[in-house]
Formats: sequence, structure tokens, C-alpha cells
Amino acid sequence: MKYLYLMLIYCCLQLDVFARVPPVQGYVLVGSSGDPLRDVTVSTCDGNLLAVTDDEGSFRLLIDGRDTLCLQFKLLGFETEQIKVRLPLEERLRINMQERISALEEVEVSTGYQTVPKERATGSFEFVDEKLFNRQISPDVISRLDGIAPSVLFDRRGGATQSFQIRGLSTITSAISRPLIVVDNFPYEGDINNINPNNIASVTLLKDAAAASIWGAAAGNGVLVITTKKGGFNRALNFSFNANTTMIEKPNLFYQPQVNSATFIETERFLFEQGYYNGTIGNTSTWPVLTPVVELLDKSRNGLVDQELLETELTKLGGYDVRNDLSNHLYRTGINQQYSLSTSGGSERFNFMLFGGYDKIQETAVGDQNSRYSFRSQNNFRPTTNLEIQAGVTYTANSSINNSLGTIRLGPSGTLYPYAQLLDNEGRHALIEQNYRRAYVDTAGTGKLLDWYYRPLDEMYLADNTTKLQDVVLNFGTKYNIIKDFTAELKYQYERQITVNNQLYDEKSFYTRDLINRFTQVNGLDVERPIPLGGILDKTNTDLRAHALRGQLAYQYNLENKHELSLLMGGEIRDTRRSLDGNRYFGYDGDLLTTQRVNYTIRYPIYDNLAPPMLIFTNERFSQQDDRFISLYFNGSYTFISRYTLSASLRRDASNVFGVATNNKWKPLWSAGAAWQLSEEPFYHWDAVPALKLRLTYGYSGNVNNAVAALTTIAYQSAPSNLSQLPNALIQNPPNPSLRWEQVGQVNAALDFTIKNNRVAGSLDYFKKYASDLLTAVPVDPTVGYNNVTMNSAALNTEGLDLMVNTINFEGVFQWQTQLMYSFNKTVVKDYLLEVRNPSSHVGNGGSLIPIVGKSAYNVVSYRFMGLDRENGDPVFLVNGQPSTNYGEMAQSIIMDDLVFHGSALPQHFGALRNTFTYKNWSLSANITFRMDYFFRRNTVNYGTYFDGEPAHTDFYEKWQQPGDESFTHVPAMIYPNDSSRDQFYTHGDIIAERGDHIRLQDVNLSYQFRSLAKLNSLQLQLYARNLPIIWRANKQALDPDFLEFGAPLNISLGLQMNF
Amino acid sequence: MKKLFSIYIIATVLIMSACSKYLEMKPDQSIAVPTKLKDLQAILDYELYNIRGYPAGGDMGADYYYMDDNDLEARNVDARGIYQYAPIAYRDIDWTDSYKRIFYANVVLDEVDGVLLEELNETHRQAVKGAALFQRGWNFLHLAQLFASAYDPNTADGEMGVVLRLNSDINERSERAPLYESFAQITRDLGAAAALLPAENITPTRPSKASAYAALARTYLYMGDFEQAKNYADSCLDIRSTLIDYSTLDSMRANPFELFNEEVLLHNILVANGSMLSPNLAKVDTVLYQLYSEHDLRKVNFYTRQTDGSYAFKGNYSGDVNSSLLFSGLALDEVYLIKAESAVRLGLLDDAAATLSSFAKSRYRLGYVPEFNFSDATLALQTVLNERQKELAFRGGIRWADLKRLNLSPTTAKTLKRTVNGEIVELEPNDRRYNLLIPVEVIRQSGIQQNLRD
Repeated sequence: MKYLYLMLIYCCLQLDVFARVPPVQGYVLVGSSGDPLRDVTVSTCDGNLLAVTDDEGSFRLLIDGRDTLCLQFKLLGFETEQIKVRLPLEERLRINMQERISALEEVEVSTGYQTVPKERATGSFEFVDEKLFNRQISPDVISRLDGIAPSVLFDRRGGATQSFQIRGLSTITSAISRPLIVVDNFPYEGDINNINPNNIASVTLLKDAAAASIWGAAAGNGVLVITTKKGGFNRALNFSFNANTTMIEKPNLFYQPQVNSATFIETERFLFEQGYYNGTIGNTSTWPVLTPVVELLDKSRNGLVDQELLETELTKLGGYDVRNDLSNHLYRTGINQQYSLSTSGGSERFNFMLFGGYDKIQETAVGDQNSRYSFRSQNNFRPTTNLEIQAGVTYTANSSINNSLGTIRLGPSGTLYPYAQLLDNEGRHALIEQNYRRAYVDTAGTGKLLDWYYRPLDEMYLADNTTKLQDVVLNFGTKYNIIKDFTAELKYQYERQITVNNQLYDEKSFYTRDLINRFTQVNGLDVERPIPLGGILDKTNTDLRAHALRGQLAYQYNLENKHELSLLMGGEIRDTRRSLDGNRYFGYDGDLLTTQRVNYTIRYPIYDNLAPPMLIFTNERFSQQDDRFISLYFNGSYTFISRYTLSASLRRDASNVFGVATNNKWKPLWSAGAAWQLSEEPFYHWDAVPALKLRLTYGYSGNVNNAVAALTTIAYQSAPSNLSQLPNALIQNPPNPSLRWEQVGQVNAALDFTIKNNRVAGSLDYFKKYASDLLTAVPVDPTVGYNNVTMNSAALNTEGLDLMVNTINFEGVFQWQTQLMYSFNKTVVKDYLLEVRNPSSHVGNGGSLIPIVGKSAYNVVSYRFMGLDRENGDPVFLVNGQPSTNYGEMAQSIIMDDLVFHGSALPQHFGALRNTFTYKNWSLSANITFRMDYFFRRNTVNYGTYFDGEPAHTDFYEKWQQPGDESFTHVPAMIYPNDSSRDQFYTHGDIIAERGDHIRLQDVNLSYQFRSLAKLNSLQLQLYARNLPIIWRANKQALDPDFLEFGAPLNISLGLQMNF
Repeated sequence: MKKLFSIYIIATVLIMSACSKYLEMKPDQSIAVPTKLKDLQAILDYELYNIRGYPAGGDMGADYYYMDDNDLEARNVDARGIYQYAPIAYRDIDWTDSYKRIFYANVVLDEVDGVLLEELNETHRQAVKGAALFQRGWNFLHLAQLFASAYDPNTADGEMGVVLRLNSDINERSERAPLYESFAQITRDLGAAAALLPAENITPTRPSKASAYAALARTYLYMGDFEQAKNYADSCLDIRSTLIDYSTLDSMRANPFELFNEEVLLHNILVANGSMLSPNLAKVDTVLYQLYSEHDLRKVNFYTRQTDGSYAFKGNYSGDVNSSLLFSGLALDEVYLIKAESAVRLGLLDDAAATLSSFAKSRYRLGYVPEFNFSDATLALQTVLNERQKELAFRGGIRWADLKRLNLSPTTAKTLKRTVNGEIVELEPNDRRYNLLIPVEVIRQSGIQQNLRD
């Protein structure tokens, strides 16, 4: 704080020290309303920046030794003004600027190396400004981009929330499939969730080769450039406060329809009579868990429970549904709170920005919460007109507690039976069988062992799993204007992120009691405990350290707007080290901070021979990864008479891809582009389309995978070998001297236009991507020791379209604006050497690549269902062109033509339609998103998992029971013994795949803007709702294809934003 | 502009040369190119591949167990096929995992003479080299016993053997060597290993001179070279000969044997498809169970009665409880039996009787140890083979090879029978189905010749 005061005093001093000659003073107003206009850049007519207007619209210039002055006033969205004045001035200048009504975005986009005016660019950029970015409310950066940026597709296969793609997938390796995320100038190495979204000024997407190839070998999947807020020179002191609260609906455990408990018990009973549980009941060596119903049935069989009691008990159990208990005790409404305060300002020589934020997240799972403190300071200093020095620090402290129970299981694999209760009849925390049969635990140890019962609700309060993260980013930069058009820049950034995870298994937790008991040896009265009493603490430290240094030279030349030349070249070096170490402590006492030793080398017998003798698990881990990069780059553009632009970029990257001779690590990547402002041509007279620009680019970027090496490499295992406790190493890969980086070529042709007096503006991009040399496994003769070897072998082709149209439908007191975004992209396998011998292995849900040349890469593939057998209700499938129920042989005999290729598991057409209505101080914006042309697999009955104890889908009630049923149901009969391959076929039948197409009212934002309220510059209140109902969907099951497990949880936020 | 470009180019050159060191950094510290002797030792100590996953195809087809129809129905096609001697059934993993171990051995052998010793010495280098040679020969042996015909010295030159991969170059083309050459390589590797390895090793997961001798004894027995078999068995027993007295075991335990028990020379484990050989599924062949006399301690230490009246195997030398992962390494009891059988074959009946007697002491209840007094060679052979069958049932890698070699002589040949869904399937002696099929992918990628079927 002291620092802040000093800084403020310093800036005030600055203002006066330099005021020796009478300054040129003035103010800028909005022509129509007379309101002061801030952020207007004031420059000389030949382009030298002098000042920026403050909140009162006023500016102040120090000019000496001149009689006349030509001034230019510029602000996006306004017509540029030029005036000539005589010096010295008699009074303050007054400038009126006229608003330009245009739907065209006029922005400067940042590539992370430089900012370029979008209208001069040849490449495809997508710009999300602060206002649009903050329209969404969420604690993280990524999810705010959902539905507002064209060509960004959130990949929700498998329930992922933050996984997204820009223009489809360009690699097969999922670990390197994320777009590159750049924060300000350098790739962000830490956890992206460290970044406080309230401190973000804009987000730019670099989509095509000309835009992204400046990032070279890391840009194959597209680039996301996040620009944080900064201060500005000649700005009045400004404070901004932001607060919001979001409520998140708790997961709907009843979303997946499942059979009721009575039905489940009926099935258990049926299975019991068939002898299904006999093996488990008879297992008196490891005592596996039996459910209460099976225990009861067994007691009844042995005459220990009479028939009447049995029936009463079963009826009672049949009335319970554990989902009620789970929903009441394990889940709650989630609450996110965000507060942030920032201040910025600047004199002529100095500007600063200070930001502080606090976020608190109460997750919907009871026991999970998260809090984040963010602090950021960014200072710019301009000691002389040609030198600028910039320094900043960002600090994030994140603390998360993960004490939620997760899914309750009966052991390593068993599913919780649906009639379980978490509270017993007296309201105490109930016991649930865990790992061993209840009857065994009741008597085991004859009092010599620790309590061996599992009470889920106790566990929730005993859990102590915390992760504390601290992240510091320091950056430093200087910019020096060497001579007229030359600028040299040097930038350095250091990042350190330290994460400490403490997972404490309390002495009273089941995990600890169970482990101690298993190792306990009882000999008469002697009780020996190789694992001491006390808690068990697993401690994991991760450390990330990244350096990045960049030197850059820029040349700007403008000859009377006839020849504009912009050149940029530089070099960059980056070094990232990630290390991890972990250890386990036994007998941990959190009060005294003591631990106890155990012997890791003795193979101890396990209590009652429940398992063969074992070593005590140490959980010791170490690892360290280093990624090093050196890059040289060049970027240039030339514009002739503001009509024709040519651009080119070239970049060479090298990294420490292990084992490759250094020379081969250098990979040149390039791009070239051209733009033609057709509407500026003298022969152009198409009045309906006043602005028309054509763009064409081509070029290459790459993907880096440092996990693959070119020499025989071995990987030391961090744990000693299991049996002999010796250091041991896996041979990671056989030699691959021809290893290269993956390469993504892209051609982009685009059209930018405005029509109807600039009321409609838009762009249409067509692109084709050729991802080649993709690393993937290639089959080799297994006799060499490997079935396949990872090589640069596969290729994917992606073709697509991005359309974006902004319209201003009404202007005036009532305003109505519309933004339409539509994207199409389709990825097809072009080359893939790993042939699949057995066509039925293609069957799946599109989670992994289907290696069939010419087919959509992530395809939902099914067996062709031919109805149910009228004799016995078996599902019939097409096998080798013939209907068959011989499931055993089926998988081998199925041929390609038997399979149904539904289509992509990723939406191929998607987009959004956003309407914003403004009336006086009110503004309402609704975003409707659509995702089309894709498929997903829904749930249905799987008798195998049902028999294993997982409640079945309600399709169970539709099952075939007698001949004739096949005419109205496709759910196979329940058979005993079950045939798991029959399940496998049915659950992957074409009738179980559904179209994912849907239209959703994604979110609505209602805001009210108070103008000039007392001392406040502005105050805005926001009501925001997200995950509103689906408007239309193709599937008849009323499923949400993007949130299959629990449905999309409704989020409602209330926000406030103040500037003063 | 020209000047700028030349600066750029000069900078490029300078940076490139200055940075080569910078880029030599390993991306992952746990990764290394094997350059030190301890790296090679660590490769061989990678238990997941080098100790586990020994071939199970022969044992899945062996006659010491049977399965109920229902249980069999639940196995996958190949497992079922191997069980019921189907002409087309694959055990790809037996081939691929064995060759993976051979690749590991070859990586070590390619590097061992040049690596840095650091704090280790030449003796360690010898031991690592010996261990790699052992691993190669030992895996060739398993492959040859599974994928090639039984070894008949008279025809071995004309029979197809296995692919002898002798270095780690993955670009070298695979070819099947003649059976004779395959076994010559096996005995060469194991012999060289025996010369280099220490008499006993610090842990049974590493081979030793004793285990190399035992492996050679097993190999020569299979080849019908009984003199050599007996010699190597003797050499092994000279190093170690103490058997476990089964009367000291607690037969009530889920497995009376512990990990690394006293008889274990080399600890290996096999892995069968879908728990095929797990005690719940693999029921002890009733004829085999009848072979054990009332006072045979193996009856209670090896087997346990199931609720349905059948018997399950529990006496796994791996020390595991209720596990389908059978011990598949080398143990002293086998060496005794190799010695006894070789003696019988060589006509040294007294020698055989003495060997069997000292062996049987540890296997029968005190006072009930059978007397071995051989006058008739045929009877003696029958006795020793019976003991062998009783001792080494459910011991991976032995029974299938025994069936193959014994089938060469009509007097010891056996027709295998399985009853599946009421139907009897048979495997006649010397049937081609005794040689498992080579994985299709191997045939496709390398073009080597597949094993024939009738």
C-alpha cells in the first residue's frame, strides 16, 4: 500500500515538473450528446502520438517552439477529426466527434508479438472485447468463451468442461491438442485457472496460418491471446469495482432414469435363486462384500431368518432410494463469489494499473471449495519520448479443499446398491459395507483390531485434502525508439508456480483403519502393527519454473499512406521446468507434527491371509520435465495505397526433443498472405456493399510432442520394483531417428464486407487444413519387441467455414443489435497406417480416432440391430450380411458393411445467434447456441453391470418377456446366465445412438446502467442466467447431449460493476 | 534492408551454434539413453515385463485341469479355442511378450560392452551380460517349445524353429531359423550365461548360475540329450539342493508356500487369458488328483476342496493367493526330477532311485515315504514321470513341453481329451495343433511361415 501512495505522489509530481511552457489544452465531446469522450488518441497529423483524453474528455499537450500545429483525434467508432491550430492558444480547444454507425469491428488485435489493426491484416483473427467477455460470468477464462467466439468448439465428449478446439482437431495425440494460450506476450505455462477473468481486456483468436504461424511449432491447434488490462498515459485516476455471485444448481442425480429399489431387489432375489452369489458367499478367504439383500436371503436359506421377516425387511428396503440421501447430504447449491477492485491512471511519463481480486467457490459437492486471491500490478514508465520501460507482477494464491466423498463404492469395484441409507433410523451416520462382507467385519479380530466399519458420512468430515497453489509472474520490458522508424524491444518473463497437495487420511478414516488392520498380526494376546496408529499423510509438491526472453526489432515506414511497410524480427528463448516430488508419512500427528517410521522392505503377512504378504506402499515419487525452445521469427507486411496488402512470416523453432541431433530440431515454418480492399478501387461502384475486402493466406504451423524420442530411451520408474525392491526402468521407445514435428498447413480465403450503410458487417472465411506427419502408432512386426512404434505417419484433413455477421437493426433510444456466428468444420482421416484387423473394433462412441481413410475422424460406430428374436428375445445383429445371434463369434465375423457409421461425435455445424436490446438504461442480451450434425450414445440396459450391482436403466421395464413383445420393444430379454458379449452388442447397437443436434438458450444477460450517479462514473447491475432450457433437440429421450450425466446445471448470477 | 537480413542470418547461425548445448537437456529427468551399466541392470529389473507375462498358451491346453462348460462359455474365443484344441486359436501375447523380453535382453547385449561402469566393476558387467544372455535363451526356449514341433535330433535340421533375433535393430527382417539352429542358440545363450553369472544372485527375480544350469537341464531334457541334462542338473544341485520339507508347511493356509520360497531358483509368472487358470475356474483333473496317495503331503498343500466337490490348486510357488498367475520359473524340485529321469533314461537306475528317494523324503508324511528300488527300466520311467506329473502340475511352462517330448515315443504318448458341452474333443500325439499359431500380424508384417495345420 505504501508503495501505491509513493507511486501516486510520484505521478502527481511528474505532471507539474514538466509544465514549464503553457500547455495546449482542450476537451473532446460526443457530437450528438455533448458528453465528454474518453480514450480519444490525440496525435499530430503525421501520426506521432501525443496524448489520450481522460474521463472528462480533456487532454493537455506540451508543445514548444512551434507556431502551428496539426492535430488528429481518433477513436474507434467515431469519425476521425483533424484541426490546425495557431500557437500559443487563447483558450481551451473544443472538439466534437461524430459517431460512426457501423456494425464493423474496428479493433487492433494482438498476436502476442505485436498489435495490428484488423482491417490491415491478411490473416483471420477473432476479437472478443472486454464488454463481450464480461457479458458471461464465470470464475475462469475459458468457459466465458463458450458461445461467443466463432470457430471455437467446446468438446464435451466424456463430460469435459474446459476442452476446446479452434477450427477442429489438428493432431491425434490428445495431450497436445489444446490451442496455445498466450497471456500478453508469452505462452502461459501455469494453470490457466490462475487467471482472473475480471482483469482481462480482450481475447484474440488466431485462426489461420498468417495469424498463428508467428507462433510456429506450437500454433498447430490455433492460438488464444489473452490481453490483460493496462494503464494508459495521461489518464485520470480511475477505480473500478466488480462483484458478482453465481448460484449453481446441484446435480440432478435423478437425471439418468434407473429402475426402482424394489425392482433391483427383485432381480437380486432372482439371481440369488439362480446361485449367482454362491461363489461370493462361499469365498471365505477374501470375504468379498455382499449386499444386505443377499445377506438376508442367505440367512433365510440357512434358516436364520423366517419367511415373514424376510418379506417385511425386503419390502422396507425396497422403499428406499439412496439418491435422496446422496442429494441431501453430498450435494448442495454451488455458490461462486467474485470481488475485484482495480485502479489505473497515468501521467505523461508514467502509468500504472493495480488489480486485486478475491474469488470464492463453493462447489456443488459438499466438502469441495476453492478460494483465489489475485493481485496484479503493471507499470509503464516513459523517461524520454523514445524509451518506454514496463514492469509488472502477478500473484495468485489459490487454495482448494477437496473433501467430497465422490462416488460411494462397496470396494474397489462394487457399485452402491440403490436401497442404501446414509443415515440409520436413529439419524446416525449409517454403515455401508466396504471391501469385506459385513458378517466378517462383525467378528474379525475379536476386539484386537481397529473398528473396521465404513460410515460414508463420517468419512466426509474426516477427509482433509487440500491443495495450495501460489503463482508469481514477473515481467519486464523495454521499448526503445532507436531512430525514426526503428524500435527495439526486449521482454523477459519469469513464472514460478508452487503447488502443495496434502492428503491426510485421518487416523479415524476408513482408509487408515483398513490399512492398519490389514497389516495387523494377532498372536494370542500380542497385537503387532507394522503400520503405526495415527494418520497417513500423502504430500505432493509440484514446482513449475519458466523463463522466457525475447528480443525484437520493428520497423515501421509510412510514405503518405502510399507505401506502408511494417517489419518485425526477433528471437526468443523459453525454458520450462516442471518437477514433482511426493512422499507418504505414517503415524502422522497433526498436533505434534510427528510421524513414525515403517519398514518398507519387509513383506508382511496380511491379516487372516486376506491377501498374500505385502510390502508397505511408500508412495514415493519424483519427476522432472524440461521443455526448452529457441525460436527466431520474422514478420512483414506491405500495403500499397491502402488497397493491396502482402504479408509474410517465417519462423524457425528448435526444442530439446530428446535424442534428435540439434540440427534436425530446427524446423522452419512460414506463411504468406494477401489482402485486397476491393471497395477502394476506382472502378468499384457497388453501393449496396460499401466495403468489400478479400483475403487469402497460406502457411504452416506445427505441434510439438516432447514425449517422443529418437533414440532408445528408458524411463526410470520412481518406485522400486515390486518384488525385489530394485531400481528399474522401462524401455520407453525403440530408436526412431526420423522423428519430426507435426505439421499443419492451412489455406484460408475470406471475404469481409459491410452492407446497408454499414448497418450490416460480416466476414466469411473458408479454410482447409492439412495436418500431416502426425505422430501415431504404426504397426511393425511384433517380433521386433513392439506391436507398433510411434512415428510421423498419419494425416488429417479439415475443411470448414466460419461466418460472422453483425447487424444494427435499430438505432436510437431503443437499440437492437444482432450477432450471428456459424461455423462448419469436418475432419477426415487422410492417412493412417495402423490398420485395424477386426472391423468390430471400430465400434465405439467417437472417443478415439477411427482410422479409416476418408471417414470422419471421430465417428460414432454401431452394430446394425435387426430386431429381437421372436423365440427368445435375443437381439439380432447383422453379421456378414446375415442376421445372427451368435455373439461369441460375432465380433470376429463382422465385416465393414455390417457396421453403421452414424457420423461425427463432434458437432460439425455450430454457432450462435445473439440479440441485444437496449432501451434507455436497460439492456437485454440473449444468446441462442446451436450444435448440429453429431451423434452420441445414450444409456440403456446392460444386464452384465446390472447383475454386478449397478442399477439398470429404466429401459429394463420395456424388456422382451414373451413372444410378440418384439413388435413393440427392442430391449432384449433378461437371460441367466448373462452373456456379456450380448450386452456389448446391444449397448452398441445403432438404435442406442442418437443425434446430438440441439438448439439451446445458452444464456441471458439483463443489465441496468446508472449514469452519472453522484460521484460514480458508472454503475451497472447485471442479472445473468446460464444453461437455460434446450429449445429444440433431435433426440426423443429428452437428453441433453452435452451434459449426459446430470443435465446442464442452471447458473444464475447477480453482478455489480462500478467505476469511480 | 540488406544489412538487416544479414544481421538476421548471422544471428541465426550464432544462436544455433550457441544453443546446441541448451537443447541437449533431457525433456524428462526419468528418461535416459542407456549409457551406464546401472541403466542396463535397471532394464533387466523391470519386473512387469521381465518377470511377469511368461507364455501360458501351453498351460491353457494342458491336461492337469478342466473347466465347467458355463465357465468356459464366458471366456473369449481364443481362450476357449486353446482349451479345446481348436485348429485356429491364437495366443499372440505369448509370442509378442516373449520377443519383448528378447528385445530388452538385446538392448542390454548391444550396449553392455561399451557402457560406463561408474561405481560398479567388471564382475557386475559380466553378471549383467550373463543375465541378458539368460533372458534371451530362456525366452527362445519357451517360444521353441510352444511354436515349433517337438525336438527330434534326427529331424531337427529340417523343422522350422523360431525367429532368432540377436540384436535390438527393429529394422532387421524376421526369419524362422531351423529347429536345430534354434536350440543351438538356446544352449549357446544359456551356456554363456552360466559362465558369466554369479553362483547365486541377490534375488530370485535375477538369474544365477544355478538357474542357468537348471534351464540348461530343462532344455537338454526336452532335446532328449539326457547326459547333458543330468550333468547340468548335477551342476545345479552342487550349488543348491535343499528342498522344503512339506511336513513343516501349514496346509491350512490359503497358500502354504511363500514368495521366494527356498526351492525357487528363478521367479517368473505367467498370465493366461481371462483368468483361465484361476483356482475358481481351473478344476484339478480328477485322474491327476487320484494319483496322489493318501500320505502324499502335496495333496493337502497343493489342493483345496471346493464347495461343488471339485478341487482347486492353491500351492502356487509364486506365493500368491487365489491367483491365476501361476509360477512359471525354475525351482529345485524340477531339477531333482530332471536328474532322476535322465538317470533312468541313461540306465542308471540306482542313481535314479537315490535321487527320487532324497526328493520324496520332503514330499511324503514321515513313515510313508515310498521305497524306490528299480529293476525294470520301463517301470522306473513310469514312476519318475508320475512323480514329475504330480510335482509339476500347475507349474507354468512344463507340462505342455513334457507332453510334446513324451509323445515322440509311443510308450509315453498320450491322447488328450476334453469334454465340452457333452462332446469329447481329442488331441492325438504329435498333432500339429501342439504348435501354436504365430500371430497373424507377425505373418503379415514379416512374411515368415505360419505353422501348418492338417
